[in-house]
Amino acid sequence: MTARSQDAEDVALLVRWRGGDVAAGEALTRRSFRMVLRFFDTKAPAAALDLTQQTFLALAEGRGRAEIRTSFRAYLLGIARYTLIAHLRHHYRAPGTFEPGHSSILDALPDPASSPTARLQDHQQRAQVVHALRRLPLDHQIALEMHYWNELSIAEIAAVLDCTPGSIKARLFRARKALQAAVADLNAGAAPPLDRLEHELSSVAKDAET
Amino acid sequence: MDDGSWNAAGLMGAPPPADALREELALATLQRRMFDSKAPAPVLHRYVLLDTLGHGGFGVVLRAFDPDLERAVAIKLLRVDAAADDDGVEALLREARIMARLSHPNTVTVHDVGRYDRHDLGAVGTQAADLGIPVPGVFLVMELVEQGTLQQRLDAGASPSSLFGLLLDAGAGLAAAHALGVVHRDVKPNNILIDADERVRVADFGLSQTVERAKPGAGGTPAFMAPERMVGGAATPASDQYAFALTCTVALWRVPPAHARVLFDDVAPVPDGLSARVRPVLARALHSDPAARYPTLPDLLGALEDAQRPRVRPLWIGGAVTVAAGIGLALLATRDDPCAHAGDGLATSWDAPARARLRGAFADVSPTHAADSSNAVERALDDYASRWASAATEACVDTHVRHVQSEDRLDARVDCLGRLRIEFAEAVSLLAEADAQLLPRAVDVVHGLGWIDACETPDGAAHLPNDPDARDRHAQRSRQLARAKLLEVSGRYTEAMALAQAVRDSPDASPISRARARLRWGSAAAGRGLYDDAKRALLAAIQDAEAARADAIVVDGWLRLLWVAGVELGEPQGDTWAAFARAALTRLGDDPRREAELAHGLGGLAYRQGRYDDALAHYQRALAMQRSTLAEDDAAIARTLNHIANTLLELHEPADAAPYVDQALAVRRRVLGERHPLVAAALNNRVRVELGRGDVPAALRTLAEAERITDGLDLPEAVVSARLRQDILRDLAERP
Repeated sequence: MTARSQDAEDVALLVRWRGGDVAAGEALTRRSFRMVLRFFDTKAPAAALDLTQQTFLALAEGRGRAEIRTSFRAYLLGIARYTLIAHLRHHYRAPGTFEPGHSSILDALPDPASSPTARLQDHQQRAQVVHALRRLPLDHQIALEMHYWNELSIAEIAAVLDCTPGSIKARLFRARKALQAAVADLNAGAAPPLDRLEHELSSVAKDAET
Repeated sequence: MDDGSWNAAGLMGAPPPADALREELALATLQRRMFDSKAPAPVLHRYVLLDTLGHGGFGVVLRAFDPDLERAVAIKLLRVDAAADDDGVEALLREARIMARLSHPNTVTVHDVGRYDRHDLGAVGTQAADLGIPVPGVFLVMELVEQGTLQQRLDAGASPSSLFGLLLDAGAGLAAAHALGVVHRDVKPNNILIDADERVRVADFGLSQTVERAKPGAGGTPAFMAPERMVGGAATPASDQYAFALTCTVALWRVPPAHARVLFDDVAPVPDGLSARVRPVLARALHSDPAARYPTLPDLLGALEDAQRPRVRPLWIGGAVTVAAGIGLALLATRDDPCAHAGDGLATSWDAPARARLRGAFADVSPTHAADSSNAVERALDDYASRWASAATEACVDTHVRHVQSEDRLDARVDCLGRLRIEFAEAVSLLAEADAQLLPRAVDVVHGLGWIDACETPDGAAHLPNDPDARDRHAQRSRQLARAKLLEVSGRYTEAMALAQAVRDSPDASPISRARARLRWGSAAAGRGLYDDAKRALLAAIQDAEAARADAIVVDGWLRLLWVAGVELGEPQGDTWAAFARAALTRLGDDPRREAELAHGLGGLAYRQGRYDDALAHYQRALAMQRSTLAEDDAAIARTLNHIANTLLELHEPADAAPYVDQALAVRRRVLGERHPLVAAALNNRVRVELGRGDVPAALRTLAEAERITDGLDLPEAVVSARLRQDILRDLAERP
């Protein structure tokens, strides 16, 4: 089944579900819930199941988004993003101010001890990337995951993030840089108890070796 | 064009692997909630399976719901190896039933236990194998402990001292199971759970034995396994003891289990907040012969607790001895006492031949001033040697006679005093080679020797290497650093830098030595006016010292950085460096000499920023502290006096400045002799005072004195004198 025909089928199931066909809803949920669950797993693992459910309820009711602009999965992930942002705004230290273009997941939710990140201990490097992603602004994280893991097109990512395709390339560029920096930061090891000066210290200390 | 995409693709890699069982359970929950689905739920007997908590070689752990008791539980599903005989499973079930009867705050409570097969699993029964559920198997229903494991604590960098109590708790849980005849078989950081209230629970008692029966020696985690089990021996309380001690070592020393040998290696420092006596206790529990370990786990726990408890014996224990010590050390020293020779250390380097060499060298350099200088230097050396001897005797008496400190602390004090002895010997030999450049600074060299009082609260014991070669190299580095320091004091900055660099680059230098070397290099570089290089080296020194937890070096680093970057370079972060110096000093604790140095630094900052009133207040505070801790002739006091005078002159208060100028001058004359350039510097200040008073004739007389000292020499003091003379002459010419 091609992506295009799968997409057409998803849309047909959604139309039937919204018309009252529960079996179509069950089928559509079964087909697409994994993608949504994984979307939340890298961001709010403790609430992933609840948020997945909320996303599908919003999908059934047609809340959040008026139309399918590019593909069903972009549409669904767009709803998931709004569901996540609403959740984060609720939990953010200053309620309501979570800003997905600037705030990271870690701003709103502390790293849980038992999470998919913790489950990945045997895959050190991957765990580190998942960790680093959580430090980026939420929309940077989403853009990177969509691009590399879900293999969404630029147009689809734009639909998920609710912005123009033209801005996505620049966003991906910045997100990559930010990810590299975050990974490098994690690799720097235990931070000395001098956080304010940590940066200056490490950069200056390097050339003191000469 | 590089936009980072290639790197990013590599970095991102594949998405996190899916957990098929978790997704299946999530879907079932979702369908149930959203569609009120009548489809059978994934269950195990009556428990509704909700989520996965972990996978392992043994099977899988799930979060589940017990509808009868309406509570969340953890369920462990264990593979029953087809090759394992039924006895193994029965033994596991029997032990689990015993554990279910055990209610101890430090063990995970077992609620239920039994066997299961495909048909007990409801909706997931048919695809159990695909989902990674072992069938048939044994299940254990246990209390659900949210939060983390000791392993996660370690990964998060918890401090050793914060873990000690948690480890003892874990040991108590383990001991409770031993009392019922249950052996854990797989003690390790991952099996020690810590909840949000810091309650510790040991999990997974006896679980590894299903595997073990099939393949002897295979159950448990090899890295934590006692040696006797590696060769097929049975799991016993003694093998649990070994694994527990190894867990403690890994947690407290932050080493991988394979490196637990650090325990037997004196080089590795004992972690902060931990008593050195913990080491031999754990070493015994880690003995390869089970019979040589502690008889029982509670014995080990008791020994650990004892070892960590401070063992300072109160004074009243040896009442008579205390009285004797109170009467006086001299009296004791005549008896058969262990400290009679504790203070002899410096005598070997400062003996009659050494005195003769010193006098000879001084006479060669300056026949006219030799006696003066030599006398001053000898007095200073004698004074230092006698203070060192009483400090060393005091340290010994505290341990062996008064019993008010542990041997560990004695070691640390002796180690500190030993460093000073090396410095002293270097100073004596450096002075015996004095040349024209060194001679004027000879007394400074002695005053530059380490501060003896600081050894009463030393920077932790430096554990010397056992290997004689390594010990030699360590001693060699200590000598080099001592010499570098003295060279710096005597103004031979380039040589000091070269020696410091050699130490820094020596491959087996300890982090503390490296930090000291960098500090020295930076300090000497600042002496040469290479402030930017000095700043970088000092930052690196602070980093090294922080890593090695060498608090005193950290403080010295910030203090010097404050002066170099804040005062000399006039960088705006001066106040920040000062704040870090203050913070490090707070951590170091009571240290009036460094407190004074900080106050002096703050004065310099304020002076540099033109806040002369603040500068004056800081300098005055510094002076008060220095007067109460340093010798009256100390160069640091003269320096502070001179800076106060400078500040007052900036404030146009020449009359107030006068006494400070005179005091500085007096100290320098006494210590350095009449012809020292620093005396000329103080004389120049006096000229400014006298000019401020309008007393031009006095100013001219003083200026002439200064010029006599610097006559024909290319010194900054000479330049200042010349400028002053010009000012006076211009001033006179402009007068009506």
